[in-house]
Amino acid sequence: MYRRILVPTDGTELASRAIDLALGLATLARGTLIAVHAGAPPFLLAPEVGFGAPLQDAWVREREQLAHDGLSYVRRCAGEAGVACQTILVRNDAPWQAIIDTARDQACDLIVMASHGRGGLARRLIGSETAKVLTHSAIPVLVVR
Amino acid sequence: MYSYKRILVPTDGSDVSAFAEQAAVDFARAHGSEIVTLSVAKPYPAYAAAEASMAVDPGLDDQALRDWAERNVRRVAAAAAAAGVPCTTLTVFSHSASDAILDAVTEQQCDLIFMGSHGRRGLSRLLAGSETQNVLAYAQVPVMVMRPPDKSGHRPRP
Repeated sequence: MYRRILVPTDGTELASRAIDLALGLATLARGTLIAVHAGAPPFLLAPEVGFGAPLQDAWVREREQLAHDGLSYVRRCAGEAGVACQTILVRNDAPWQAIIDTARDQACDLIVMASHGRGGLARRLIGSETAKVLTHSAIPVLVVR
Repeated sequence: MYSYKRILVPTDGSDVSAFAEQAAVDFARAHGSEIVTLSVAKPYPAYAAAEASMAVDPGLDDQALRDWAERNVRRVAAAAAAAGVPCTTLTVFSHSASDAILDAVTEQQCDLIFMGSHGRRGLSRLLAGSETQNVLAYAQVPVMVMRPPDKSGHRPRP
Protein backbone atom coordinates (compact mmCIF):
# COMPACT_ATOMS: atom_id res chain seq x y z
CA MET A 1 0.00 0.00 0.00
CA TYR A 2 1.21 3.44 -0.85
CA ARG A 3 0.63 5.88 1.98
CA ARG A 4 2.21 9.12 0.85
CA ILE A 5 1.13 9.76 -2.69
CA LEU A 6 2.44 12.69 -4.67
CA VAL A 7 0.25 14.07 -7.42
CA PRO A 8 1.62 16.92 -9.53
CA THR A 9 -0.95 19.27 -11.00
CA ASP A 10 -0.30 21.74 -13.78
CA GLY A 11 -3.54 23.56 -13.03
CA THR A 12 -5.32 22.17 -16.09
CA GLU A 13 -7.87 19.41 -16.33
CA LEU A 14 -5.22 17.15 -17.86
CA ALA A 15 -4.27 16.26 -14.29
CA SER A 16 -7.77 15.33 -13.19
CA ARG A 17 -7.64 11.62 -14.01
CA ALA A 18 -4.35 11.27 -12.15
CA ILE A 19 -5.91 13.10 -9.19
CA ASP A 20 -8.85 10.65 -9.24
CA LEU A 21 -6.59 7.61 -9.21
CA ALA A 22 -4.32 9.07 -6.54
CA LEU A 23 -7.35 9.78 -4.35
CA GLY A 24 -8.61 6.23 -4.83
CA LEU A 25 -5.29 4.74 -3.78
CA ALA A 26 -4.97 7.11 -0.82
CA THR A 27 -8.50 6.26 0.32
CA LEU A 28 -7.81 2.51 0.28
CA ALA A 29 -4.53 2.92 2.15
CA ARG A 30 -5.83 5.66 4.48
CA GLY A 31 -2.85 7.58 3.19
CA THR A 32 -2.04 11.19 2.54
CA LEU A 33 -2.25 12.98 -0.77
CA ILE A 34 0.46 15.51 -1.47
CA ALA A 35 -0.37 17.82 -4.35
CA VAL A 36 2.42 19.84 -5.88
CA HIS A 37 2.38 22.59 -8.46
CA ALA A 38 5.65 23.64 -9.98
CA GLY A 39 5.24 27.31 -10.72
CA ALA A 40 7.71 29.12 -12.90
CA PRO A 41 9.99 31.61 -11.11
CA PRO A 42 8.29 35.00 -10.81
CA PHE A 43 10.02 36.66 -13.71
CA LEU A 44 9.36 36.57 -17.40
CA LEU A 45 11.83 39.16 -18.57
CA ALA A 46 14.80 40.44 -16.67
CA PRO A 47 13.27 42.69 -13.96
CA GLU A 48 15.50 45.58 -14.97
CA VAL A 49 13.82 45.69 -18.38
CA GLY A 50 11.23 48.24 -17.33
CA PHE A 51 9.17 48.25 -20.50
CA GLY A 52 8.09 44.64 -19.90
CA ALA A 53 6.41 45.48 -16.61
CA PRO A 54 2.71 45.52 -17.64
CA LEU A 55 3.08 42.28 -19.55
CA GLN A 56 5.07 40.82 -16.68
CA ASP A 57 2.38 41.63 -14.11
CA ALA A 58 -0.37 40.07 -16.18
CA TRP A 59 1.69 36.97 -16.76
CA VAL A 60 2.57 36.52 -13.11
CA ARG A 61 -1.07 36.97 -12.10
CA GLU A 62 -2.21 34.40 -14.60
CA ARG A 63 0.37 31.89 -13.41
CA GLU A 64 -0.53 32.48 -9.76
CA GLN A 65 -4.17 31.90 -10.59
CA LEU A 66 -3.40 28.66 -12.43
CA ALA A 67 -1.36 27.35 -9.51
CA HIS A 68 -3.98 28.36 -6.99
CA ASP A 69 -6.82 26.81 -9.00
CA GLY A 70 -4.96 23.54 -9.50
CA LEU A 71 -4.03 23.10 -5.86
CA SER A 72 -7.38 24.14 -4.46
CA TYR A 73 -9.11 21.70 -6.83
CA VAL A 74 -7.08 18.83 -5.33
CA ARG A 75 -7.75 20.08 -1.80
CA ARG A 76 -11.47 20.19 -2.50
CA CYS A 77 -11.55 16.68 -4.04
CA ALA A 78 -9.57 15.28 -1.10
CA GLY A 79 -11.90 17.00 1.35
CA GLU A 80 -14.92 15.42 -0.34
CA ALA A 81 -13.27 11.99 -0.25
CA GLY A 82 -12.14 12.42 3.35
CA VAL A 83 -8.47 12.00 2.45
CA ALA A 84 -5.72 13.88 4.26
CA CYS A 85 -4.16 16.32 1.83
CA GLN A 86 -1.25 18.70 1.70
CA THR A 87 -0.67 21.19 -1.08
CA ILE A 88 2.70 22.58 -2.01
CA LEU A 89 3.64 25.34 -4.43
CA VAL A 90 7.23 25.16 -5.62
CA ARG A 91 9.06 27.64 -7.78
CA ASN A 92 11.20 25.88 -10.28
CA ASP A 93 11.97 26.31 -13.94
CA ALA A 94 11.98 22.57 -14.41
CA PRO A 95 8.72 21.02 -13.21
CA TRP A 96 10.18 17.49 -13.29
CA GLN A 97 12.93 18.56 -10.89
CA ALA A 98 10.38 20.13 -8.56
CA ILE A 99 8.35 16.91 -8.60
CA ILE A 100 11.35 14.69 -7.86
CA ASP A 101 12.60 17.03 -5.11
CA THR A 102 9.20 17.26 -3.46
CA ALA A 103 8.76 13.48 -3.57
CA ARG A 104 12.07 13.14 -1.73
CA ASP A 105 11.49 15.95 0.80
CA GLN A 106 8.01 14.70 1.61
CA ALA A 107 9.12 11.05 1.81
CA CYS A 108 6.52 10.02 -0.76
CA ASP A 109 6.31 6.39 -1.85
CA LEU A 110 4.41 6.87 -5.11
CA ILE A 111 3.98 9.50 -7.81
CA VAL A 112 0.75 9.49 -9.83
CA MET A 113 0.91 11.69 -12.90
CA ALA A 114 -0.64 12.27 -16.30
CA SER A 115 1.21 11.06 -19.36
CA HIS A 116 0.80 14.51 -20.90
CA GLY A 117 0.58 17.95 -19.39
CA ARG A 118 0.05 21.48 -20.54
CA GLY A 119 3.23 21.38 -22.61
CA GLY A 120 1.40 20.80 -25.85
CA LEU A 121 2.59 18.63 -28.71
CA ALA A 122 -0.23 16.20 -28.07
CA ARG A 123 1.08 13.90 -30.76
CA ARG A 124 4.24 13.27 -28.79
CA LEU A 125 4.12 9.78 -27.34
CA ILE A 126 4.69 10.87 -23.79
CA GLY A 127 4.99 14.28 -22.20
CA SER A 128 8.51 15.58 -21.68
CA GLU A 129 8.12 16.26 -17.95
CA THR A 130 6.62 12.81 -17.41
CA ALA A 131 9.49 11.21 -19.30
CA LYS A 132 12.03 13.03 -17.13
CA VAL A 133 10.25 12.09 -13.92
CA LEU A 134 10.26 8.44 -15.06
CA THR A 135 13.95 8.70 -15.77
CA HIS A 136 14.95 10.20 -12.44
CA SER A 137 12.43 8.88 -9.93
CA ALA A 138 13.58 6.26 -7.43
CA ILE A 139 10.00 5.58 -6.37
CA PRO A 140 7.26 4.01 -8.52
CA VAL A 141 5.44 6.27 -10.95
CA LEU A 142 1.86 5.52 -11.96
CA VAL A 143 1.38 7.02 -15.42
CA VAL A 144 -2.20 7.83 -16.34
CA ARG A 145 -3.40 8.69 -19.83
CA MET B 1 -13.55 4.76 -7.79
CA TYR B 2 -11.19 3.09 -10.25
CA SER B 3 -10.86 -0.59 -9.37
CA TYR B 4 -7.87 -2.80 -9.97
CA LYS B 5 -9.39 -6.20 -10.71
CA ARG B 6 -6.83 -7.64 -13.11
CA ILE B 7 -3.23 -6.53 -13.16
CA LEU B 8 -1.05 -7.38 -16.13
CA VAL B 9 2.53 -8.19 -15.15
CA PRO B 10 4.84 -8.64 -18.14
CA THR B 11 8.01 -10.49 -17.27
CA ASP B 12 11.29 -11.16 -19.05
CA GLY B 13 12.91 -13.01 -16.18
CA SER B 14 15.32 -10.15 -15.42
CA ASP B 15 16.07 -8.70 -11.99
CA VAL B 16 14.31 -5.49 -12.98
CA SER B 17 11.15 -7.36 -13.76
CA ALA B 18 11.51 -9.47 -10.59
CA PHE B 19 11.30 -6.23 -8.62
CA ALA B 20 8.16 -5.15 -10.46
CA GLU B 21 6.67 -8.65 -10.09
CA GLN B 22 7.01 -8.61 -6.32
CA ALA B 23 5.58 -5.09 -6.09
CA ALA B 24 2.65 -6.18 -8.27
CA VAL B 25 1.95 -9.19 -6.05
CA ASP B 26 1.99 -6.97 -2.94
CA PHE B 27 -0.30 -4.48 -4.64
CA ALA B 28 -2.69 -7.24 -5.80
CA ARG B 29 -2.89 -8.68 -2.31
CA ALA B 30 -3.64 -5.25 -0.80
CA HIS B 31 -6.30 -4.45 -3.40
CA GLY B 32 -7.83 -7.90 -3.84
CA SER B 33 -6.80 -8.08 -7.50
CA GLU B 34 -5.91 -10.96 -9.78
CA ILE B 35 -2.65 -11.15 -11.68
CA VAL B 36 -2.25 -11.96 -15.34
CA THR B 37 1.40 -12.52 -16.14
CA LEU B 38 2.80 -12.56 -19.64
CA SER B 39 6.16 -13.49 -21.06
CA VAL B 40 6.93 -12.69 -24.68
CA ALA B 41 9.27 -14.99 -26.55
CA LYS B 42 10.94 -13.11 -29.39
CA PRO B 43 11.89 -15.36 -32.28
CA TYR B 44 15.50 -14.81 -33.32
CA PRO B 45 15.78 -12.82 -36.51
CA ALA B 46 18.52 -15.20 -37.69
CA TYR B 47 16.01 -17.96 -38.25
CA ALA B 48 15.47 -17.39 -41.92
CA ALA B 49 19.14 -17.71 -42.65
CA ALA B 50 19.57 -20.65 -40.34
CA GLU B 51 16.70 -22.50 -41.93
CA ALA B 52 18.02 -21.90 -45.39
CA SER B 53 21.38 -23.37 -44.50
CA MET B 54 19.76 -26.24 -42.61
CA ALA B 55 22.47 -25.64 -40.05
CA VAL B 56 20.24 -25.91 -37.03
CA ASP B 57 16.83 -27.23 -36.28
CA PRO B 58 14.77 -24.08 -35.72
CA GLY B 59 12.14 -26.09 -33.89
CA LEU B 60 14.66 -26.84 -31.20
CA ASP B 61 15.31 -23.15 -30.53
CA ASP B 62 11.60 -22.51 -30.59
CA GLN B 63 11.22 -24.98 -27.80
CA ALA B 64 14.05 -23.36 -25.82
CA LEU B 65 12.37 -19.95 -26.12
CA ARG B 66 9.06 -21.40 -25.09
CA ASP B 67 10.66 -22.99 -22.04
CA TRP B 68 12.33 -19.71 -21.16
CA ALA B 69 9.01 -17.84 -21.31
CA GLU B 70 7.36 -20.60 -19.28
CA ARG B 71 10.04 -20.29 -16.60
CA ASN B 72 9.47 -16.52 -16.40
CA VAL B 73 5.74 -16.76 -15.88
CA ARG B 74 6.13 -19.64 -13.43
CA ARG B 75 8.29 -17.41 -11.25
CA VAL B 76 5.47 -14.86 -11.06
CA ALA B 77 2.87 -17.57 -10.48
CA ALA B 78 4.96 -18.89 -7.58
CA ALA B 79 5.22 -15.43 -5.99
CA ALA B 80 1.47 -14.92 -6.45
CA ALA B 81 0.66 -18.33 -4.97
CA ALA B 82 2.84 -17.57 -1.96
CA ALA B 83 0.79 -14.43 -1.36
CA GLY B 84 -2.54 -16.14 -2.05
CA VAL B 85 -3.18 -14.03 -5.16
CA PRO B 86 -4.98 -15.67 -8.12
CA CYS B 87 -2.73 -15.74 -11.17
CA THR B 88 -3.14 -16.53 -14.87
CA THR B 89 -0.03 -17.23 -16.93
CA LEU B 90 0.40 -16.46 -20.63
CA THR B 91 3.26 -16.95 -23.03
CA VAL B 92 3.25 -15.72 -26.59
CA PHE B 93 5.58 -15.57 -29.56
CA SER B 94 5.90 -12.05 -30.89
CA HIS B 95 8.49 -9.82 -32.49
CA SER B 96 7.25 -6.90 -30.43
CA ALA B 97 6.92 -7.28 -26.69
CA SER B 98 5.01 -4.02 -26.38
CA ASP B 99 2.42 -5.07 -28.98
CA ALA B 100 1.95 -8.38 -27.19
CA ILE B 101 1.53 -6.54 -23.88
CA LEU B 102 -1.02 -4.11 -25.33
CA ASP B 103 -2.96 -6.99 -26.94
CA ALA B 104 -3.00 -8.85 -23.64
CA VAL B 105 -4.43 -5.82 -21.84
CA THR B 106 -7.43 -5.86 -24.19
CA GLU B 107 -7.90 -9.62 -24.40
CA GLN B 108 -7.52 -10.21 -20.69
CA GLN B 109 -9.43 -7.07 -19.72
CA CYS B 110 -6.71 -5.81 -17.43
CA ASP B 111 -7.07 -2.44 -15.73
CA LEU B 112 -3.47 -1.84 -14.68
CA ILE B 113 0.00 -2.75 -15.96
CA PHE B 114 2.92 -3.18 -13.59
CA MET B 115 6.29 -3.12 -15.27
CA GLY B 116 9.97 -2.41 -14.78
CA SER B 117 11.46 0.85 -16.00
CA HIS B 118 13.60 -1.11 -18.43
CA GLY B 119 13.91 -4.68 -19.56
CA ARG B 120 16.67 -7.12 -20.12
CA ARG B 121 18.28 -4.92 -22.72
CA GLY B 122 18.22 -1.86 -20.48
CA LEU B 123 21.71 -0.49 -20.32
CA SER B 124 21.34 2.96 -18.95
CA ARG B 125 19.40 3.90 -15.88
CA LEU B 126 18.90 7.23 -17.60
CA LEU B 127 16.41 5.99 -20.14
CA ALA B 128 13.18 4.13 -19.77
CA GLY B 129 13.35 0.95 -21.85
CA SER B 130 11.97 1.14 -25.37
CA GLU B 131 9.29 -1.48 -24.75
CA THR B 132 8.22 0.38 -21.61
CA GLN B 133 8.03 3.61 -23.60
CA ASN B 134 5.86 2.00 -26.27
CA VAL B 135 3.52 0.61 -23.64
CA LEU B 136 3.33 4.02 -21.95
CA ALA B 137 2.55 5.69 -25.24
CA TYR B 138 -0.29 3.42 -26.28
CA ALA B 139 -1.76 1.80 -23.16
CA GLN B 140 -5.34 2.78 -22.45
CA VAL B 141 -4.97 1.76 -18.79
CA PRO B 142 -2.67 3.22 -16.10
CA VAL B 143 0.90 1.90 -16.04
CA MET B 144 2.91 1.53 -12.84
CA VAL B 145 6.59 1.95 -13.68
CA MET B 146 8.98 0.47 -11.13
CA ARG B 147 12.69 1.21 -10.94
CA PRO B 148 14.56 -1.36 -8.89
CA PRO B 149 17.28 -0.33 -6.42
CA ASP B 150 20.80 -0.26 -7.87
CA LYS B 151 22.81 -3.46 -7.83
CA SER B 152 24.75 -2.12 -4.86
CA GLY B 153 21.47 -2.00 -2.99
CA HIS B 154 21.74 1.77 -3.00
CA ARG B 155 18.63 3.65 -4.04
CA PRO B 156 19.44 6.58 -6.28
CA ARG B 157 18.41 9.96 -4.93
CA PRO B 158 14.87 10.44 -6.08
